[in-house]
Amino acid sequence: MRTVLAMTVKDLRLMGRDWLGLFFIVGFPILMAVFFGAMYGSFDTGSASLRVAVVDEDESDMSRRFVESLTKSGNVEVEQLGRDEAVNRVRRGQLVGMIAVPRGFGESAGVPWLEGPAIQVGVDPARKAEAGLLEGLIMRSAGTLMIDRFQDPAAMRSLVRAARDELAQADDVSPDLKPLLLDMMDSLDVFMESWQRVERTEAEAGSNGEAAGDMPGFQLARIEAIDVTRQFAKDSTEALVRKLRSKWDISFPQAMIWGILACAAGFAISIVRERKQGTLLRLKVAPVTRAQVLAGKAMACFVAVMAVIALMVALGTWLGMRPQSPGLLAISAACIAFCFVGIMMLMSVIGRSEEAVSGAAWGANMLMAMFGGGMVPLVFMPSFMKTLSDFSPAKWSVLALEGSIWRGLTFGELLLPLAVLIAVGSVCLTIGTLVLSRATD
Amino acid sequence: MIQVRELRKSYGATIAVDGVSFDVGRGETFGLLGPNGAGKTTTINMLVGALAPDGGTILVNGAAKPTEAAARLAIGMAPQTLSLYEDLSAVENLTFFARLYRLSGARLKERVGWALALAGLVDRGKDRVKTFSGGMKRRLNLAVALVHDPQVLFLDEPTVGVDPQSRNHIFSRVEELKALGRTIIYTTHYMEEAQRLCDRVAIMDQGKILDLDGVDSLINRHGGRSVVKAELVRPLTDATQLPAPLDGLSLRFESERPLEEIARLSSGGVAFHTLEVARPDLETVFLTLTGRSLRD
Repeated sequence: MRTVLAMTVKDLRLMGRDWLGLFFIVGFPILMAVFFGAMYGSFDTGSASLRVAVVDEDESDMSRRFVESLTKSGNVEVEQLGRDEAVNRVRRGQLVGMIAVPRGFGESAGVPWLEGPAIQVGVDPARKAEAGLLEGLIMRSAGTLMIDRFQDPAAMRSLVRAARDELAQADDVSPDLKPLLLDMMDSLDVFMESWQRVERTEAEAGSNGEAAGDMPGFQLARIEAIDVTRQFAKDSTEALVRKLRSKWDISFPQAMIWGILACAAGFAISIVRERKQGTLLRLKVAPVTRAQVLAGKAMACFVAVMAVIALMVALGTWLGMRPQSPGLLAISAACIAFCFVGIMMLMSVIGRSEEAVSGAAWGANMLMAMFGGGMVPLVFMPSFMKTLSDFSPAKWSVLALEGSIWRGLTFGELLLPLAVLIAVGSVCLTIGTLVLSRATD
Repeated sequence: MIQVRELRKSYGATIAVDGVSFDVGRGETFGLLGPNGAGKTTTINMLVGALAPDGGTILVNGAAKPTEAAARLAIGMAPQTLSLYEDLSAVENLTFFARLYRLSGARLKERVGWALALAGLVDRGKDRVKTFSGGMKRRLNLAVALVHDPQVLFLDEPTVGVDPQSRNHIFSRVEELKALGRTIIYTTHYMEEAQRLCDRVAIMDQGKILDLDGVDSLINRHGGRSVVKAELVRPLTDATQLPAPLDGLSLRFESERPLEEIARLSSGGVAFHTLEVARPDLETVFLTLTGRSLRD
């Protein structure tokens, strides 16, 4: 075992000192994961609200309540900006639209007998559907201000009285209508006075341990939700996409495959290099069995593949990927590593020179990646490609990784990809080892 | 120490080694000489157990086959190709190969230090091999073969492509090993190396040993006569005493006893302006046995 360990350490050390090789094993997959993860950002279902700018030029209590109500709806993501910046951000397409609350908004907002306050709205012309939705949300928030007014009976009474005095002196109101309106104002004043008394009594009771109540709100309509959650076939693209919890869920398993393929190609080439540079002759002369030599290579490749997966999982987790089952992920990683150790052994006997093995190994890698989810994510593959992908060990590797990271596969469901990986690894390892043993005689 | 009997190896229709037999005694330095393609490296590779022979027997230390662990522990090999990991340092190369020979702890450290000193690379031990000159690599190649302190050492063209300083360094180290009683099997193209280092030499060609003996015996047997070239001071009135006709004042003749012949002429009144005696050497033996035609 010490001999195998010495050879493993030597091979890992050599791998670590080959900067170009290391780039393809670690650097390239990281770049790829981040690049494609950023591209798949639109699949991130975490933010489905409208992003709008709000320009509060009134800065009154009512304008603040309006913005608060808009934000509370949960359908709008508000950024408070200056007017110019808000306009620019919408023009650049960074925000759906902007809402400006002009000065004087607070004076008439929520007062039913006054003309409604002006609210200025600008929406990206390319997003007409959102414009309608935004206007509805604005109207709803403005409506809540009326309820807010009634929550403060003293302030409301002073508004009512001022309105009554103004009405009494108005010449432009019909003489038949004026007494009716004055009666309504008086009744409202009496109602607010009574409400103020009730509120005061409840406040005193509240200080004795009983809760004080608010004026009941009112709604034009009560909206109740009907469950119309879309239902998809279990393995359909739509169903799978809905399982995604992070934009990195697809890009990281996809990128890991490139690192794993680079490991396999790198170690396959290193076997031929040993033969060419004569170190294999030294190993053959040393008191080391052929099995130990091959085990050393296999162990180094296994450790490298596991390290690549661990590193990528750590990085993905740091960015926001959340593997659902770390235990199944570890089992999947071990099976993938075993599979690619076998593939590495087979690759190493494809040719007799470094150039031949390198060319053939990367050619095979490209095919495996192309049909195995290394280029086009398995989720988005057209059906003919999905059928072809069954022949690529990369596909089963991606499936095992995705299964434990975000697809939520059970151990039973993972058995098929894991069994395929072990079977492919065993066959390749046997053929590769046999041919390699003959070649080194 | 090493016993080889009727060793044979073929690659398809090409016979690389054809019934080679010899013995190498303990502490002996044995040279294997031959032109390119003579079968030297194939023979060495079979002796170290890296290549399976088609026929014949090889015994190391009297009983063990070279593929057995006991024999492998006793053997060290410096291959003709520089067999080193270029991306590892000299110390890492030595340590790795020493571990394969089951060295560890203080003994490992001691042997690595010794091998590094032997290669003259103490100051460059932590540098990667790819930064070394050809001579440094060749010295390290030898040191790796010796790091586990083998009793039998196979050196396959150990001085190919090195500068005179490194070559001299390697010679000195091999002579030290010889003095320490190590058994050495040495293949080379350089006749003066074999003449200087080897107790016995086998001349090989086309897979066969053409002759095998001590250097002097081989020269006596195959080297022919010495050649004497002289320039006389003045012309002779009577040239009949000369062993060959004069060409102006120049004289050239061959003799089995050149010194006696020169003494005879001198006492007869022949005055020499210049005198050169070319004694036959191993190269003469080599060319006599293997021919002068080009080998590719």
